[in-house]
Amino acid sequence: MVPSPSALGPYTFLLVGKAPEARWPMVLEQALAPLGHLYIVPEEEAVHAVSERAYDVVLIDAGAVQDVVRLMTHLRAQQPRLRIVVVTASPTWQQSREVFRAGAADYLRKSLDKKKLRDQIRAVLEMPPLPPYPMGQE
Amino acid sequence: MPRATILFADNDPDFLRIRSEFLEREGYRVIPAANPAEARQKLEGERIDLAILDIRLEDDNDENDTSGLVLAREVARTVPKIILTGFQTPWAMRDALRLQPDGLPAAVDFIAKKEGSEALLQAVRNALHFGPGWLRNAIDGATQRLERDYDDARRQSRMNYIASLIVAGLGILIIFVGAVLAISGMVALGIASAIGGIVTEAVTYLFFRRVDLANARMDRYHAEVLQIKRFENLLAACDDLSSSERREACKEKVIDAAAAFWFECPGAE
Repeated sequence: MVPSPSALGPYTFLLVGKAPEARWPMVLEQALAPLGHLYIVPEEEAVHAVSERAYDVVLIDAGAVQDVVRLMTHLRAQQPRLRIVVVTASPTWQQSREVFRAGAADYLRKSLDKKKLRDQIRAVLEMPPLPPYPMGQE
Repeated sequence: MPRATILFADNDPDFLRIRSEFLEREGYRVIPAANPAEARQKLEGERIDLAILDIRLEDDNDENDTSGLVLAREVARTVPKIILTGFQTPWAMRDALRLQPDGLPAAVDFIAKKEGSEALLQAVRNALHFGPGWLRNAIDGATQRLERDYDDARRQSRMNYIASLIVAGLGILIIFVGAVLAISGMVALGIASAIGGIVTEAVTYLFFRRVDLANARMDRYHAEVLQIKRFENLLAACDDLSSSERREACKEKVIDAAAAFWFECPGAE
């Protein structure tokens, strides 16, 4: 049984992306430190990680995974109301639509501004519960 | 099935006419609107199943004009909306499709005008499928299935009850005949008859079990009806509060609690 997400914090976050020693994951880890703990896994370990533990927010680094929408589908099959945030260095209109149609809670540009990052993730934590199916999709 | 009514708002009259005619050919009833005020008035005043809103409803040359999106966020929140744009930016998409504090996104889809009429038509079909119309149909369908199941449980209960009475009477009669035969000297036949009567009584027990199961099914429905009545009473109690703000806050709490109880996510603790 997957443990419940934390109601009032400290929160647990999962970043699906590159190695923790890369620059942006380190920035994100520092940004989220006041809110809780960030775990980092590569794409191939993401589904297993989500099946083992209920994360408050899962962040997907769009530049570090092969197929963002496919990964989202697999993650939401594990936890239908999982809050997924897709982060990217080069946002596009098409990708934005695809990830929201697949049920993303947010789509963010990779920022080095820690306060901005923290505020954006805090806003996701404050969002109402997500619908358990992708909206606008058959 | 009645035609879905679509509000189509765009400040480009040619585009509005061409796309409206296309959607009408596809079987929809289209109400056009040429500016935000007109769109707002129709969204508030008429029964609309879906709204298609151009994001720049006031001035196509003003990149800060998001009047269509503002309208989507503020007016008729339960009407699904599709935002149209001639200027594709990921951040407008984000503003449109991200959940708002009330738990609904401003729009259910976002289409670029240059994607053409077929892309718009597909978005319309998806939006109507998942919009309130779809929800209404799903609820109606579920209600019909529940009513059929309840009638079936009641019929099973009645039939099994009658069958159990008949079989119980028959069993007693066979035992009585067995006893009479035994007294009359036909002991073997009497014992056999009595055993037959006892077996018949055992069958009666099986019928009673089925009556019991059917009654338990009906009890579950009665419990659900009770829950719904409690929910209605709580909402009615909210209506008795003095200020409209407190009324809305109270209703929100009741609905949240009921939704958490009824729509608990499978797999969640």
